[in-house]
Amino acid sequence: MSHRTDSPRPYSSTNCHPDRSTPFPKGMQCGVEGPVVAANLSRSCRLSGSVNSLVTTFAAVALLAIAVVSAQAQKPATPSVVADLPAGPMQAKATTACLECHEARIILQQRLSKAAWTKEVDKMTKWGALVDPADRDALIDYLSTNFSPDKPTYEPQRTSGSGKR
Amino acid sequence: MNSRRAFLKHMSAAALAAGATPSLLTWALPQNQSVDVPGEDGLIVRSFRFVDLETPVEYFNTWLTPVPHFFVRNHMFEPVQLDAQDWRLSVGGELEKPLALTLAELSKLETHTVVNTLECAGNGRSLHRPQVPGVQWGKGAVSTARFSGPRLRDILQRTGIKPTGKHVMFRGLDEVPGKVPPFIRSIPIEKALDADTLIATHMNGSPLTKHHGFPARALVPGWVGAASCKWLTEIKLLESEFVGNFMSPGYRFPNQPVKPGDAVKPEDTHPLTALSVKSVIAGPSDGATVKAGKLAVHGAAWAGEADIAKVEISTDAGTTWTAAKLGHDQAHHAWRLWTYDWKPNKPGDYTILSRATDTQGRTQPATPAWNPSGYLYNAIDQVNVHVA
Repeated sequence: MSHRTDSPRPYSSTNCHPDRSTPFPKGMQCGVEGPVVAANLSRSCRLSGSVNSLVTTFAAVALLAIAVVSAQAQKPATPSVVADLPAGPMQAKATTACLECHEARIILQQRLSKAAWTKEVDKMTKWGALVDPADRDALIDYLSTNFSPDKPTYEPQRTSGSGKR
Repeated sequence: MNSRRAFLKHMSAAALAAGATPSLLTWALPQNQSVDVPGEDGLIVRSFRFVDLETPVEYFNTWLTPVPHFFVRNHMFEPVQLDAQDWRLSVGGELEKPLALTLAELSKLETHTVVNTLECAGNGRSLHRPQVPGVQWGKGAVSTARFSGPRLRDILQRTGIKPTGKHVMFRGLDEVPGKVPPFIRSIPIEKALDADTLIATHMNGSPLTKHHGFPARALVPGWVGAASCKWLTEIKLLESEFVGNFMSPGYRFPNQPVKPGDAVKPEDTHPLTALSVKSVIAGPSDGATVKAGKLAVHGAAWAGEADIAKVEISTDAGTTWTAAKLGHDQAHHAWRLWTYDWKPNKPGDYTILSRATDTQGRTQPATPAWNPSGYLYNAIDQVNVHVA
């Protein structure tokens, strides 16, 4: 008996920069709002970012086809909604540094002081987040400005659970 | 007045006064979109990657939580592939005869069943002030299920325990991102040998789903959820407590009360073990408008390794208290549902409070014990309702 998780996999920041220039087909972009095929997306992201755009597109389409076949065969993929980090000069670098390991929601829901954000950034850097030392202070400023205690409470979504595990 | 509501109201007003522009909200997710997580119905999405899903308190209306409504807490990625045929549970360390059990072998051991209320240590973290980092759980990182599987002590009897085996380490198959330390924790041998500590393979009569640790998880009843390691693959007896991030500095509580916002030295903390005494109001909902007449105030109360002695309700913001009726269903490590028949005759705004007391004499405090990681929030619960 095989029991595959549907938990989305990480994508590597070195292979998948979720900036707008990455030519994924619609619905297969990393870190972009909108439905995605989460489980298979991550694998395609890992592969696609390391090649040129033409090959990337081809590979992504091919993987989408594989994903569809795979989904029909074992239903591993679940559409999801991927949250984005707020616009700002550090958005791209924060996305690279933070969202390789976890999604934006974890950040969007925090309401922390600058001192607390400093601790978090340093802890995450120790745990492998790719933060250029020259960007550390700007990243802390970005997070503590956008996610300070005076910001409105983050309103979470709910699961629909339409599928069967 | 509800301090949290007051805080939020104040902060919302402050945000508006400060000129909160629409751009502040442009990155907010559309709230009418739900997130499809197969098998998980109506749960609050604290995180999708990693999967952290909260049970809405309005679901606290059945003694056993249906699996699709049971909260999910993951620290990292779930194992991508788990093949029951290939899965092994190795048992080693300070014992006489190391073992490696297949799932089939595990299933041949005598099965024991425990109804347990599982609560994340960080449940209620979002209610602490000042706020602390971590998954911002509301009140619903807690659920109750009937767990089944062999007793851990039966497995350890087969291996034999050396006198040096004082702690039992659990390692799961969680997949570690980056350089994050692996999720490994340990419990003292005394708790490991408790008759109700299981290697659970079933939940509410069905095999564990992957979100809940398929094919086997530790089940350490009455203790913080983090003790009950999922996707278990290794049990190891140690001479002393496991040394690792999720034992220290993670999952530790200050030895002394802390002034909110203050730092705490690691040496002034101890590992979290059993849960606190706590009650939560499941209905009416906070902010609800209800009709005058008769209304059931209801909820759940639990106390870790202790039993609930009483739940008291106040409908006048704490001036007077009346005992709620405790539900018939009970088990040593499980919550009690409770209900209170309220008859509000006069229209107006009411603050309803619930306060549980356990058999160890512990009572929910009026103010939570703030701590830097936001663990064990258990202040008296509160909802505000309008009687029309």
